[in-house]
Amino acid sequence: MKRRINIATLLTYILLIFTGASVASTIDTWDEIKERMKKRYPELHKLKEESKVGETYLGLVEAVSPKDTSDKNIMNLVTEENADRTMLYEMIAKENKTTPELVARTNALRIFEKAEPNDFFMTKNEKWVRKKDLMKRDK
Amino acid sequence: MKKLLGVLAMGVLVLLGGCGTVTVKHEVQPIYITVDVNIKVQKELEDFFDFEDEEAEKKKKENL
Repeated sequence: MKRRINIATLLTYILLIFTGASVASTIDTWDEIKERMKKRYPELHKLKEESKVGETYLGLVEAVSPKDTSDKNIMNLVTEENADRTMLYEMIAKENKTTPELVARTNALRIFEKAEPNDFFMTKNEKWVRKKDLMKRDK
Repeated sequence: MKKLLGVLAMGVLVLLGGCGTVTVKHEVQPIYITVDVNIKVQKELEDFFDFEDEEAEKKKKENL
């Protein structure tokens, strides 16, 4: 009986090790996410300069005009960027015992501070406004 | 007798005053924790997105 339990325990451990290994291989690391975002950045920056992509107050990117939402290249880039950002926000939140929403909003603020005057930002009432116009409103 | 009551009343007041300081400590602590977390999050984001500044520097040099 004792031997049976030991074999069962051993099998469970082996199963857990394999499950853990497969889960670990699907979870992206900090460096992998950074590498992808770094590669994507020049294209994303260009699209922002062309006013095709803007930043939301939730720390994500979106196509500015309906015309651009039908552009496959833009939408692929937006989807990939948002997936990586979401993973990053979750990672940082877990590390600091806070919520991904707080990390996302902190990043949205960081991006706004560094943005060019003509960059588009989505306000809480879901309207696209250029940074320079948002700054005028505050004054 | 009156003196004794006065001393007792003072003692009670001192004890109550001591209890009051405990509640102040509970109010202050979470503020420090929140600020600390926000600063850590900001720092981690700055470190992660350091490539944005590198890219901006590259562009500046190209435009010169």
